[in-house]
Amino acid sequence: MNKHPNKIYASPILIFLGFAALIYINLQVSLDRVNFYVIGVLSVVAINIILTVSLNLINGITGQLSIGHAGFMAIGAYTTALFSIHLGTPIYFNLLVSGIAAGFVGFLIGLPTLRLRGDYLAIATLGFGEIIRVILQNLRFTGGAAGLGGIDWVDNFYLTQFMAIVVVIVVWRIGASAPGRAMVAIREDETAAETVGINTTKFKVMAFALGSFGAGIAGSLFAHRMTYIAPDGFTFMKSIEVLVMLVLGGLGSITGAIFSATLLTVLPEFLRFIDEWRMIIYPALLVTVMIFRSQGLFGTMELDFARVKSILKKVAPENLGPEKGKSNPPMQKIKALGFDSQEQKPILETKDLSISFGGLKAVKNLDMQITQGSLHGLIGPNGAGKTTVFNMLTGVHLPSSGEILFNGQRIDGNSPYSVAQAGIARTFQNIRLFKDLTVLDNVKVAFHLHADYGLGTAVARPPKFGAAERRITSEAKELLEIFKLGDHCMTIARNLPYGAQRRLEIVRALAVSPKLLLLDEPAAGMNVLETEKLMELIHWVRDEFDLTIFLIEHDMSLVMKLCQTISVLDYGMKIFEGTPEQVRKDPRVIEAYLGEEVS
Amino acid sequence: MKKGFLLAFLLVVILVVSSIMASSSEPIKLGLVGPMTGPLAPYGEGVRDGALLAVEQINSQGGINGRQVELIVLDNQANPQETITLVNRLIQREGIVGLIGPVISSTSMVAGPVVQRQGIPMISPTATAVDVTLQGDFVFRVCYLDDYQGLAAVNYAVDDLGAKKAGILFKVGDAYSEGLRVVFRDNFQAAGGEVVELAYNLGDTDFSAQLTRMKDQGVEVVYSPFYYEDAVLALTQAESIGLDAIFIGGDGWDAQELLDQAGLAAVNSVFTTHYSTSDSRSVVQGFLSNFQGKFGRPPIVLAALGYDAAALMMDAVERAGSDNPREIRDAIAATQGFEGITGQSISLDEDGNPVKDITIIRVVNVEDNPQFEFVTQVGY
Amino acid sequence: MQPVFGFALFAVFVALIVVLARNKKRFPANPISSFFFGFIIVLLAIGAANYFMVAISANRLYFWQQTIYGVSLGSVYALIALGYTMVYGIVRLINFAHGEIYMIGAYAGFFGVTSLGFPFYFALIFAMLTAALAGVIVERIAYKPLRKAPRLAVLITAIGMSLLLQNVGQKIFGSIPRSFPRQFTGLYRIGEINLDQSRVIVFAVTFLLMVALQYFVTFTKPGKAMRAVSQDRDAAQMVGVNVDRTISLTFFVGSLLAGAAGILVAIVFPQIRPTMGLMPGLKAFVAAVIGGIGIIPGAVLGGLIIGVSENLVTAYISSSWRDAIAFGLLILILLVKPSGILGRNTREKV
Repeated sequence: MNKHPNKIYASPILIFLGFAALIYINLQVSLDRVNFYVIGVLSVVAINIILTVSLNLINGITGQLSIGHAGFMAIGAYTTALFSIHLGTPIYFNLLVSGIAAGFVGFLIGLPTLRLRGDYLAIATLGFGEIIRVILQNLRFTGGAAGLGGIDWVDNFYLTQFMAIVVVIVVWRIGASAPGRAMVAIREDETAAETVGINTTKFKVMAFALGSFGAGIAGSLFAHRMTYIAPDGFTFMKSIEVLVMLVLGGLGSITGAIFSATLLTVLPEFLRFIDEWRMIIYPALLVTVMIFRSQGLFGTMELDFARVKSILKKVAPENLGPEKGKSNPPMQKIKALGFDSQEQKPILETKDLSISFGGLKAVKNLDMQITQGSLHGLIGPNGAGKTTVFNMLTGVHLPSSGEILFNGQRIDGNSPYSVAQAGIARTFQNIRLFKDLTVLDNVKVAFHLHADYGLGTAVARPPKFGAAERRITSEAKELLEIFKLGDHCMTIARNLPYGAQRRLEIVRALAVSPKLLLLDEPAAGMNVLETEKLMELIHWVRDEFDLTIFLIEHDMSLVMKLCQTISVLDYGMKIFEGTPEQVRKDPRVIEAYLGEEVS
Repeated sequence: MKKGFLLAFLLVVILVVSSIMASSSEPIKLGLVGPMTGPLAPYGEGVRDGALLAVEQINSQGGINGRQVELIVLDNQANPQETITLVNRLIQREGIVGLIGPVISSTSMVAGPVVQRQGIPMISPTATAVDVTLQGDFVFRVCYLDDYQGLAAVNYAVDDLGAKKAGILFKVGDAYSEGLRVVFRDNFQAAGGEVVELAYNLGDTDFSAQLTRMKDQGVEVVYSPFYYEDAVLALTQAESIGLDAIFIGGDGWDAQELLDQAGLAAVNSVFTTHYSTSDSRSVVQGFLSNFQGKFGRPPIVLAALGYDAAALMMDAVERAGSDNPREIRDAIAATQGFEGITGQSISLDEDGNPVKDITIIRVVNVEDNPQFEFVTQVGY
Repeated sequence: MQPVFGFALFAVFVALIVVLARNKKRFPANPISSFFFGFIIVLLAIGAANYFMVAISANRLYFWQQTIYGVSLGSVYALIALGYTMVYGIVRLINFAHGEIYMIGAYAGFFGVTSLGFPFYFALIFAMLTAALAGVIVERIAYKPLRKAPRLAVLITAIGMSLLLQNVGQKIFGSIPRSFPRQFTGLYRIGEINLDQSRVIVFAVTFLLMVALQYFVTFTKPGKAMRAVSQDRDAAQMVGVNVDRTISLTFFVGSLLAGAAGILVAIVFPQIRPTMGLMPGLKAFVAAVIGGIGIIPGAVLGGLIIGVSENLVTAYISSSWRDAIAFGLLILILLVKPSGILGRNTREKV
């Protein structure tokens, strides 16, 4: 059943070893068996774990490359310093305030910055990290370059350790919840995540602010340990240090982050005898690890934690859902969310819709109506602008002019996620699944809108959380069963056969509970038999889920048999619209296809 | 019976003696923390080499009270967090009885509370920030404070050069540079002068903008509290833009490289420093020749401070007659008239700061070769 | 001159720039006319700045002196930025080790001039070739095995290489800065403005190298291959371009320029140290992004903008804000036009 079993079984052993080590360390510390030096190193380990795991939320889980973590740590450290020096507040208070301050700045910076992607985001975060440092260096009340001294000395290993454990648990729990799945979906494919209704900006900013919150806590502990802080302790190199710990452990892996934060803090202590070569060995080691194991020591391993738990508890996945049947509660719920009137009014309407890229007008003055409950086809030669129309309808591209009305409401200009939430779901021409997630998780991500709990619930986990999660899982499984993907629940999506991937994409779109389903070349790459089956499936889906379906297809036989109405696009203009019979006979259509046989 | 008693007695004597022998042959451990890698490595290495030389000399003379001295050197890369770990390591694991360093002020600021809590005396060779020794009675230093150095510079500028308008070029984010800047500014203004302050950043190599502005403002002296690498750049660039104000530097300028690299552009500059290589005292000349002999190069000025810090620490161990850190601390605090390289008679005040003379050196042109010339020594 | 008069002329120049920029599309899009277009814009900008200074009755002399210093600093950034931009364009990698290649160039130049006794221009070529060799070796050892690895892994490798080279440099060359023998000490004067010979040479060499690079990339076969690979690696491979060799060549050429930057910076600021590559490396990358990454004139423009604005910030505000300004500019550009000043907005294909 599992295509990567070793990953799953390694995790509990590591967790067990981790707990054993933790108990051993605490025993040693409480029995006064170790000296200040060792405890100090352990405290640094704990602070580094907080930094790394909180950065993991941003970089690993949400996939947003941030390399300015030291800046947020600095904000936490300075907040603590100012409170401690001027008001003498206790560390518990300072931890909280510092976390909030850093989280808030993270929110402010994240809001505009997270529009950027990839390397650009990385460079922007680097820039912000440096700017924070320069500002601290220039402000009078932060002591300028000389820094701030006289912070209360609190070097409480138990507290530091406790905070590290709390941060790990919080990040872990977020990772295995609906908001966490939304974040992972963003990492896997941002565009696809938007089209299943995930407000990517919201979740990115959320991850960024929470990660910064963690950095603030680390900064606070750091300040109380150091008693003196200066801006030059929070340079770009500090950010890099944390990033290296994260990547070495495996981006996205919390256990990996813990392991490598520990390793990279403790290892130099053992390398003191080669002190002067240390700074050569250290980066050489890093480069070597990256070359031979570029996914990091752990890869993204324990993101499968939920599964590990289910295996440990011996909960058979089959027990979760109701029996496979014709009408079952979740299905009715999906239907209920759809429309229920059967009037012959247009569900979707475009008026004078145009878009141009640079000088090229890709779609010109498109007027189109799609009747509710219909099966509408869109055909046209390659480059006619079909996918561009889909992209405008789903908010991926902003039309240059014209209107899009969905159920009478204007939706042009809306972002893809709000279009999806309004009830338009789609598939992609070149399948965009969350390739490295399991089949089940792909669907659960799309059930995101059904999760009626927030971040607080995800972290605190009251009974409500379990109920919601169980419901989501069973609904997702059921949907997969219907599409004969039930046996593949735990398969990584990229390992599915091609046809199954197409089906999965449709399942994922249906999980959004759409009223209108857009299918972009669903039959592409399928053989005759598969196409035949697909046709039945599409028909069945439309009836079973009370949907309107609008599809682009190159396979003429499929379109002709399936659709009630067909629009023909050529050079961005609608040249014809009518029933399959009419389309077949229309000379303009035939000409557009340049003699291509329209059978 | 008698024989048995004698045997037992002998055994006890042997055991006792051997244990005394063992304890007295056990080396006295001292620790040194400073940047040995990274951009600040030259300073850490200088202090280390000076200290190593002092230790080697003591050991070759039979050690302290018959015990050899071992100096354990660790690299903190000028990183405060690392410094805490390292100082703890030296104290807890290596069992040092005294700490020399850390070299940089910011790391000395975090090391101070650590040694204070654990009762280990620390002598910083080079940390000049005022607050360093105020952190507790276990923290000392052998370099003079920024205040005195800055004040000496102001006095020289006002009294000897008759300057009315001074520029200050300082390095942002550097406690040493900013500390001196404040002292110079406040005292120069108090003496009725006008000050133009301009900053630069770590790693900057281009000061043309600042120097042009100073030229524009017509400053007569440029106070330059930074290290010689930057001084070389400032001096050569000042020459190329035609700024003819006199540069006044701090102890960071005291390096042969200043002359080698800046050439005649350095002529007429003056700086305050710790000692003069032309000092004829045997301690100084011995240090210079031994250093050259051991390391194959002349010492940088920080090496002299490293030497003095180590020598003072070992002198205190000897005076304490014990390796108990607390007694060593008391001995350091009681230091009076210690002869070091950077002072003929060094005493420590109640804060743990040295009372000694400041040396002023000028660069002169000797047959188209720039050379250091001893100007004066100012006490305070 | 009257401030009012200055203001009027300033307005005229700004208006001319706006008019020209709005009609940019009418100019044919070949490199030579683009160059002249850019040149005219720059001249107009100089005029505008000049009369702005008149308008606010500022010290013009001081301003232009600072700007000239900024241009010479900026041309060093530009040379480094060119390597960044080329490598990024072709393998989408922020080559953090590029700053260290520049450091290697500086040391090669240093040993060329001192130990080997080369004349300056020979040492320049020596430095360029040594740096280029180092660049290609780094690519072979560290980046080539990671061609198919996740982007972040390659980025971390680049950071690792940067640290490694820096520390190996410290072991080999020693941590104490070396003083580069003074090469060009001449001083020209244009009116009241000082123009050091060394700065003029830096600017001239940068300019020549940039023109040569533009020629190489636009008109030669390997240059065209480079552009092809940067647009679509698979397609380039299909039409017979040796992708691996082209990538190596990109590193070679980029490092060649970084090597030149290393020795050129040393003739103006004659001090070299193993850690000298870090900040200029970062700033140069910022310059490349500001100008539009992957675009050769963009890197030069970005370098000059950073150099001049840094110098002006130092001159008029305080150098303690300088790094903030460089990164602030970066963020501003990223938020307003992420593809950079000369970049084209590209859409993700869905």
